[in-house]
Amino acid sequence: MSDEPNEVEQLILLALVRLGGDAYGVPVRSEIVGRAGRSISLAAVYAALDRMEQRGHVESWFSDPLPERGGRARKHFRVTPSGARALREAREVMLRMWDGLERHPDLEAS
Amino acid sequence: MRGPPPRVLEWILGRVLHASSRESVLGDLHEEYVRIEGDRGRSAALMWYAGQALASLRPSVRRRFSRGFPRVARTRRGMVVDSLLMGVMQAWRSLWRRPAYTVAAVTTLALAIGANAATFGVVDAILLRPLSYPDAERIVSLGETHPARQSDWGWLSIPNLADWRAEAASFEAAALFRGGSMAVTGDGDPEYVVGMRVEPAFFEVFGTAAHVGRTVSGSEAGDESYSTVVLSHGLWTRRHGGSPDIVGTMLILDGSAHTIVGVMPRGFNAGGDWIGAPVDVWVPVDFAAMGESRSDRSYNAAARLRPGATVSDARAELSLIASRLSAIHPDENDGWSSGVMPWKELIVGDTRSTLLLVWAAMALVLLAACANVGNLVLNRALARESDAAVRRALGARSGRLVGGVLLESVLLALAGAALGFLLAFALLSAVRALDPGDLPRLATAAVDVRGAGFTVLVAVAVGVSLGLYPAWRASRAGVQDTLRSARSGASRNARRVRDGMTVVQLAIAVALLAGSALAMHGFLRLRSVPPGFQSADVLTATVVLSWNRVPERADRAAFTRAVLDRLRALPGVESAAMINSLPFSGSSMQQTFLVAGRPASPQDEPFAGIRGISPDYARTMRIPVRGRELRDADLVVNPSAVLVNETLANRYFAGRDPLGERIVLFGGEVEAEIIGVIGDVHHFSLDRAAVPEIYVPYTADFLSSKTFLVRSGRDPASLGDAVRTAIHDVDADQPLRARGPERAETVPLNRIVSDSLGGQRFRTLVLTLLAGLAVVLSVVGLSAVIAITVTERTREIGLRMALGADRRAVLRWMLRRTAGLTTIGLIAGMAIVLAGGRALEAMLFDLTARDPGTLLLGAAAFLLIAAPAVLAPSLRATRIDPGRVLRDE
Repeated sequence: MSDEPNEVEQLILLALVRLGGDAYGVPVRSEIVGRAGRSISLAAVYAALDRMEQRGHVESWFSDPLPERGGRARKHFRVTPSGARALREAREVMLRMWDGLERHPDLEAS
Repeated sequence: MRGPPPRVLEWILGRVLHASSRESVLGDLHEEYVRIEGDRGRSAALMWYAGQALASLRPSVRRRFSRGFPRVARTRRGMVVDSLLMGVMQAWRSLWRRPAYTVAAVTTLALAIGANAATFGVVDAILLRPLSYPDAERIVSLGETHPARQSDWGWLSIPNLADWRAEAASFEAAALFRGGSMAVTGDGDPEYVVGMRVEPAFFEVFGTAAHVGRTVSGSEAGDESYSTVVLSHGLWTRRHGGSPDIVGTMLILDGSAHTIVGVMPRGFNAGGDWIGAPVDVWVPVDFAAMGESRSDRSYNAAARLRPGATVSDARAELSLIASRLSAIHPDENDGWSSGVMPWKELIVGDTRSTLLLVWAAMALVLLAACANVGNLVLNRALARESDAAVRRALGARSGRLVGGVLLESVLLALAGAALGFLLAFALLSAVRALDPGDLPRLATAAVDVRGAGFTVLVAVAVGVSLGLYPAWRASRAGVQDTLRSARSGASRNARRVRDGMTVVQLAIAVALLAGSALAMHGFLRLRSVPPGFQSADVLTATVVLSWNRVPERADRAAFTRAVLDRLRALPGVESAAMINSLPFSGSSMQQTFLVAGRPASPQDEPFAGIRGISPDYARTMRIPVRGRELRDADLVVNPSAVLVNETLANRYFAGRDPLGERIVLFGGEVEAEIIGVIGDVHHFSLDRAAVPEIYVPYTADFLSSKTFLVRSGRDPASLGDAVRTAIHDVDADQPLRARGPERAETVPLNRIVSDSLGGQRFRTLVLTLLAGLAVVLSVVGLSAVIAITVTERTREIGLRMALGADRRAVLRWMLRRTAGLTTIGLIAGMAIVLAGGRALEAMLFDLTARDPGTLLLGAAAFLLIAAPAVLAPSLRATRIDPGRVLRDE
């Protein structure tokens, strides 16, 4: 499996950065739903976070158990330097490919 | 109320979610659920949760399998799993390709399975699950019984219980109790709460520890526990905000201060589970000081059996003690014996037969749905038989072919179950909202893990039985036969199975339709029973005078008189009156009496319900009176004038005129003249006959509840505020008893009568809905079978027409076939109704299950509904173009 974050993973990484220290499943999902207009299930968010954690792109820690979660702990995530690097790279790849094509007639919105 | 998300959904998700993120996802979902429930309500939260759960399934399943596969596939078991999964995928794709078929089958199964799961939830909550007390099977209710008087269950006198308790060895603990309203005053608004006065040992009987603080115990020094109170979880959260600091503070109950010693856990409702109301407070009381009369049987008792002792041990032991007591106290105890009833039976009571009947009806609907879908599956399999035969000829193993058919139908059933499961949630919340009030423990009905297990079990059974016949055919079909018969439609055997399944559906639909026609007829008859009074244009308001605040009988009478004076002065009021226990209020007081000059032995001493009324009661209720009503002059403490009802007059004055006769009441305290004979009133419910009753002036009455009645020429509800003001003018601190979920303080009498039919209405509604479902299924099934027949026989019909048969002959031919199926269905359906008749009769008022008119009506209704569904495809047959058929040949 490649180490480059796919599109969903990029969305999640960006949401993590936006949310700062407060990032866990619920706000990440609502950030993506609200800002990007993409529908995504919580399980998919966590699956992606799990993959990225194994790759070292994010790191996580647990809060104390909370009564409003039925006594479960909250798992918080943060982007690691390597995650940030991967995200930047992904953006640059896209920008390089886009370079000079913004006004290309084939890409005009119809 | 905010709560956690449904446990079942959490449980299912927990199975599916990947271990690494399971807790986080569940936690997040929990958090959001609680938030949405707070913002937009429970149903929105449920919908959201279910949606999230569904959305989470796909990534989770993929993740599991994609990681697990390579590893297991290397083993032999892995290969089996692999091929099974392939089979599932194949079945899935095949279903996906025929959406109309799949949707029809899944919807039908979902409706039937969902209805069954919901019923299972109710049956489980009420009948199957044990009560929530520790060792609940050892808890019993005690009572004195008098066969000749058909006494109600569960009442006994204080000294008799004391003797039983002292002598019987079967019990670990036994306690008297008695429920009633109590007024809470002091901090906050005054309100009535449901109180249980109990002996301290009550808490040992029910064996439940307090949630906060403590309970009291029988061994405690008496006097101290008698000024304490134990709160219910409900009152604690409602009135005290759930604060644990409440222990040790005071609660003013009926005007006297009680120390709160503890709060019971949520759901604990000992005593209230019997009277069918949530108890708010349990108040330890010294019953021994309350009454010494052996004949005052107005108390209830609960006991806990010693470990090892059985109910029949206890019965035998108590009946010996009771007969000895009758010998010692013949005046009070003669004719009375003892009874022991398991607490659960007391609570479940008569609802058992009703529930089982509904469940049986549900099972029939499920059977009809199976027959319906079974036909779909069969047709599907028949259509593919040539395909299967070719595959066989090319070397496919028959196991694979059989497995494919079975897998497909199991998959259909499981999909139906999943959808049905969601439906069951909705149905159950609808049922809880419709709560007819006479189903115990209904509030605890839920679709939980047991319900889920039940649903899956049903689904697999349904799926296998659906696929069995087609699978069997697939396993043995010869290539040549199949390919030949494929041209002429289904084989004879298959047709027979198909017809059989159609008949099953018809029979069930007819049975349920006839059954619900019976139920509706019974309900209408019951509704048309005259209650004995005219309920229109009367408004009622009930107060319960507290013993502590108004201890003297004279003061109570003065209160009543003052309120009545104000009510009569209200503009638009025709008449106003008071009675201590209104018809259908569920309460009554029974007493023995004597006809003066006619001594009676204790066994056949006459007895009657005693009601305290004001003058004008009969006029306000429009009950006919022969003789005269009470007058103001009759309002004295020892009354010299009373009224009796027709039933009493007929039973105890057979052939004589009771007017002017004298009767002796209240153990000889009162001797009064019968001044009037008042019409019979159904005091308990419309389906129970009137009992002997004596109406005494309210001044002699010692019940603390008073219901005021106002009759006016206009909409009674418009008088509500005026009536409330009139009562508060007399005593500003006197709360009015609130009724129903909307906590109405003034209630039209109409409403009270119609509420008393709630249980019957509910049962009739359920049966009617089920019958409707079965009719839809069977009509769809029947018309589908006809349509398929027409398609299959197109060639034959075309040939017949080419050979000279006219359209009418073709129509006749099609209808003959339908008529045959329908006739068998009708006969079988009637047989089902008659077989289940006894159970059905239990809920029919004054009607037998063999009522021919109603049964015929049910059958006729079915024919009327089914006719167009049959005609449409039959007419299509007549429009077949013979020329085209011949060309196709």
